[in-house]
Amino acid sequence: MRKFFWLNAIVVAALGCGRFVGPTHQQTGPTLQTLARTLSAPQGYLAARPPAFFNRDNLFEAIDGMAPEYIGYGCKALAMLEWPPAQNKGEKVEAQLYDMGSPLGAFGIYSRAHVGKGEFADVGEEAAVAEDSVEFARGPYYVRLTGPPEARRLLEGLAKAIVAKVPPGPRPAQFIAALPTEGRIERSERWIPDSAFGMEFMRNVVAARYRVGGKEIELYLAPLAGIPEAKSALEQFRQTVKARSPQLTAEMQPGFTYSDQYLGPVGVFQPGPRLVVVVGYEKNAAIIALLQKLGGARGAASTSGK
Amino acid sequence: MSSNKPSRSLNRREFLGRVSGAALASGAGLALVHKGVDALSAETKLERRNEQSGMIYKPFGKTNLNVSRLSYGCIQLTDDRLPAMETAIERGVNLVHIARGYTGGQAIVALGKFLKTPSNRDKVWVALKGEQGRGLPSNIDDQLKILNTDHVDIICSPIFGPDQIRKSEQDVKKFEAFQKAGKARFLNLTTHENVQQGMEAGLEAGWFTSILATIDLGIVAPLQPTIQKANQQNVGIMAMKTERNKKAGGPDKIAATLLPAGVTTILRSLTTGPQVDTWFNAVTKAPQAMVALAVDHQAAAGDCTLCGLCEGCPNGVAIQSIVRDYTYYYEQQGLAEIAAERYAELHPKQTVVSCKDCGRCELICPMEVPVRRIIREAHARLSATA
Repeated sequence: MRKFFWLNAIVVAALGCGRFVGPTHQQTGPTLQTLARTLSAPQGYLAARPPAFFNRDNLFEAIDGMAPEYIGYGCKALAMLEWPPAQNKGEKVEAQLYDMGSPLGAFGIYSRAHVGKGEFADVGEEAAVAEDSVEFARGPYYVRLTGPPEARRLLEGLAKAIVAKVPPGPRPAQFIAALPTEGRIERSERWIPDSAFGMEFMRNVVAARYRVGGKEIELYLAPLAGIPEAKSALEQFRQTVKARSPQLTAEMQPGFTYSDQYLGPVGVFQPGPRLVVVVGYEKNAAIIALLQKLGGARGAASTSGK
Repeated sequence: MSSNKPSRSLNRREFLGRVSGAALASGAGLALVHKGVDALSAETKLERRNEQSGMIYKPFGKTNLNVSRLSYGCIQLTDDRLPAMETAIERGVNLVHIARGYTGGQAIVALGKFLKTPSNRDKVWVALKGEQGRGLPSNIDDQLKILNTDHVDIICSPIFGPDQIRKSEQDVKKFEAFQKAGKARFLNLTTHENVQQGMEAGLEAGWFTSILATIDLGIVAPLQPTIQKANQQNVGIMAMKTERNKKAGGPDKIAATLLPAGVTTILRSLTTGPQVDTWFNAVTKAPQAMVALAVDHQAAAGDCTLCGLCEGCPNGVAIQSIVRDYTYYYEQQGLAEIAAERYAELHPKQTVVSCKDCGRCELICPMEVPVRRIIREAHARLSATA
């Protein structure tokens, strides 16, 4: 009886753990199918044919080799719609609705191309606009609308219609709450799911650009499982850089700096169970103070040229 | 971009009619391109670049570029991933592939930073792809400027199937202009869906020195006759999306299967050093001599791989569309309404109503898909739902 009781307890505990293993996303808004099929044609455009749907297995048919990147950001499915012009003249309006699986995934794929540069509109949390496109993240969806330049207002109207149907997710700043706010450049937040700097351990990286001490830098923060893992990652980073550029410019504990031919001066630090990478690093008081908020850059620079 | 209409392949008469019509219309230009290409292969010596010990090289069809068996896809390239690309190049990769829109426009900028150094430009040949669905742009000056180069070596005309070969006709004229201005050297056909028919159409056209196609373990065996035809016509073959059929095998198996099947180079997007190592090892350890492949029945029996061989039903049944929409939307995803909507777009004559039970589709299918059962079930279930 006692053995039966403990066996049951173990099974129930295992089931309970299984249910909560891994990240979960509660779908509170419309499904992709509902969202795609309830969109009305913009004024001056004809009703769309039924949307074309794609999942991870055939996403490449829609977006070619970009599919692996979108899947890496969590993409589960894509719905594509087209509205031809009513007068049969000119370009059609197209919508790509990506279900990225989570607001973080939607923000991540949106942010990879829009980091404070370009034009933005107040649609939802934020929308990047160009002559012929409007892109934004809303809830778990990343949306890209394209059309002729004269349809720009219609694209924004369509974007607002989509935003009205989908409950808001967290604001971008919430995704990068681990990064300091002071000096941060607006709309420069990013999330990178993996392989930042070509390093496999640089996963779930948050990043933003800063203006500090008269200089613009970009700060990346990668969480590791613990301090031993972070130390090991720092050493791997160091060895990889040394293999390509034997002259590290300075060593700081815990961390080092080097000069990359494309990125310029880079500092890599290990504050606790994290790696922090600063592109555009310079040893000035403002940058040091920023790093100290993260617990990094303790200690003076040692001799250079190891 | 998936078409909601069932695709219709050109029959041989229609295709040759279009090709000869185009030839008459632009006569001298096309003849010049074709003659130029043939003359190139006959008179031009093999070009070599960045050949490193360990890497294996093969002439890329009529281009006479001696390309590495592994080429680098810039589709996920960003500044911080340039070290991985450089590692690949240090290992002997000498062909890189780029398009303007990759990584939201960051990839072409990153590649441009690399190419800015003249010695780097001399290490690689650059293949630039046109925009999907829009073909080649009329002007590539802005892209050349971003790339910090005055020319690309290969320019890629993309199609989604043989029906779009007409777009490539227009691209030939654009290519001529680029070639004359010294901005592009060779014309490539890039084909995604309906790969076999797209490749066959490209080979029939004769405009292309190379073809970039979606080739994975699920499709390579039935595709081998077409690949071999390309080899015989001295058209280089670059394989992309080679891991699409992941359950069938990883890099070692992919390289060991595709390269002996006649693929010239495998295109991979590699973002880390270990990935470069894995693919370098896979490509250099693979057998290099051509061998005939057997269809791997155990891995793929019953699974449609979109090879398109079933197209051209003598009775006009839209087989591939029905099989794909039914097995994918209805059976696998449970999206009955969507499957029915797509089915309703077909003309009744494109459904099982026209099937004469000749069995050609099943005879020709290399994956033993039970086509007739599927199209009957699709009609029974999707018509009712619609």
